[in-house]
Order: sequence, then structure tokens, then C-alpha cells
Amino acid sequence: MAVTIDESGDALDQLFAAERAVSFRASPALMARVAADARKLQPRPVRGAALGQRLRHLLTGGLRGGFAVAGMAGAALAGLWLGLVPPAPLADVTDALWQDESVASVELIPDYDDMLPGVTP
Amino acid sequence: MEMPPDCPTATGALSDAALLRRYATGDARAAGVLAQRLVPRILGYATRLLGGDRAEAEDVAQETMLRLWRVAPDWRDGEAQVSTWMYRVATNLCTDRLRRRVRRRSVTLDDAPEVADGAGGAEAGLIEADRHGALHAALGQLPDRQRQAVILRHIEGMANPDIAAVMKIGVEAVESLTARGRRALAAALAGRKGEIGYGRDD
Repeated sequence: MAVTIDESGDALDQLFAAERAVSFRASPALMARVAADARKLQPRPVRGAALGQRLRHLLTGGLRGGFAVAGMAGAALAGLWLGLVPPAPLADVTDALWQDESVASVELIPDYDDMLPGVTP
Repeated sequence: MEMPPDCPTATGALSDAALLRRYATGDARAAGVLAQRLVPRILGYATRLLGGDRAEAEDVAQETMLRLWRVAPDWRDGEAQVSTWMYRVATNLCTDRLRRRVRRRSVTLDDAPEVADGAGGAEAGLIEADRHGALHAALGQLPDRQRQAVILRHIEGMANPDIAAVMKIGVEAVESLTARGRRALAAALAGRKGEIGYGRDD
């Protein structure tokens, strides 16, 4: 059978139909390359991704906040330690201020008269 | 990751977008099913757009799939169909290659198109009395946009709105391109001899 190409385009439709029937089979080599690309670019499973996200957060934005929290916790622990087990010099001062019975009172604000000894009212 | 020889019913029935989501969440089998489904389509489309150059068409098919794997984690349902996106990428890749081909030809006459690759014109196809080769050759004579529209509409069987999405133009522009492409194609095939033998008696 022969197909005449005329202006009506009916024969074109037959040519198109014949062309649509042509199947293109991808070669095994091409499919292997596509599979290798897919394997290389496939995202990790969700659990791994979440862990990576947490690590990234810790190493970037979350780190600054972490420093602040760690600093406050360290200061609190140091204060608690000094209060429970004070070093010897600090213990002497503490005893002198609060626990020495020979000290009846401590005058933290000197008397006005002591500051102006030559002046009498 | 091995490409499965055939699709299991559960996975094979999934849409392209669903398979892409599965791939993005670590399902290696989904990539195999998607590749089996899409690669032959891209390969055929690119082969026709590139005037029958199979090697270049394979490169285009691989590159298109590579880009699909890359966008998989960010793919949003409802924005575009996977097939539409795929045709658009393949079209752009083919256009780039055709432009490079033209530039090479303009540099030296030694790089003139070869008749054997199907891009040499309608006459070669008619001499061979090969309707497949003649159609490819005639398609090769069309301007790029007309060729894209004609192939998408009449060979890939896409609807005009989908073609408009692929080519990023309006539906009316698609209709105009396909109409002009058909006329030019008929003229290219009828101009010399007016007849193409099917090569067999029905």
C-alpha cells in the first residue's frame, strides 16, 4: 500500500500512527547508568536524615545557645561546690564574717564621727 | 540498585509522583520502576527531536533522569506532572544540543549534516522509500518549536494544555505551531515525489 501525502493531511495521520507504534527500548547500558545515578543521588532513609539534621543544628545555630546553657550550668555547679566544700582561705573569711563567736558585730558602714575626727559638734 | 524486570502490581500501579516520593524517602525499588516507565519515553522523544541521533538521545535521557533524581526530595505534588516536567527538561536539553550542532556547522563545512542520521532533509527519506526515515527527515526540516509541538501532539499524543505546559506557551500558540508544522511537514513530504511506499502489500 502506498500513502499519498496531500494537503488534507490524512496520510500524515497515518504516518504519525505508524511512528507512534515504533517502540524505543532503552539499552541495558543506559538503564545501568540511570540506576547508578539514582543510587548515588537517593536521599538517605528518614532516620539517618533526622540524625544528620540534629547534628547540623548542633554544629551551626544550636551551638551558640548550647554554649550559654553550658556556661550557666557550670556557674551553678561551681557555686554549689564552693558552698559545700569551700577552700581554706575562703573558709577563714567565711568563719570571720559569720561563724567566729569573738566577733559580736561587724560594722560595714563606718560611723560619721570616725571619718571626721577633728570636728566636734 | 537493580532494575526490576517487571513491576510488581502494588508498585507498578502507583503514579509517577508517588513513585518519586517513595524514591525520595529511600525506596530503591521505586527508582527502578520509575526508570522503566520513563526512560523509553524520553529516549523516543529525544531521538525524534534530535533527528534520529540515538547516542545523543541516550545522553539526554540519562541527564533528564539525573535531574529528576535531584529534584525528588523537593518535589511538590500539584505543581506539575512528572511527565510534563520530564518532557520540558528533555526539550531544553535537546534544544541546547541542536543549537550547538548549528554552531559547529557554521564553523566548518566539514560538519555538514549527514544524510544517514536522518537530519538531511525529506529527499533522503523519500529515496529510501522509508516512511520512518522520511518522517524523521521531514521533521528535521521544521523549525525547532514547530517540531517540538508536532512531536508532542501527534507522536507523543499529548493534549494541547500539557504541551503548553511543556513549552511554556499558551494553548493558542500550541495550536498555531502544530497547524503550521503539519502544513510544513505535508509540503516537505509531498514536494518532491508526493508518495511514500509502505514497503508491503496490505
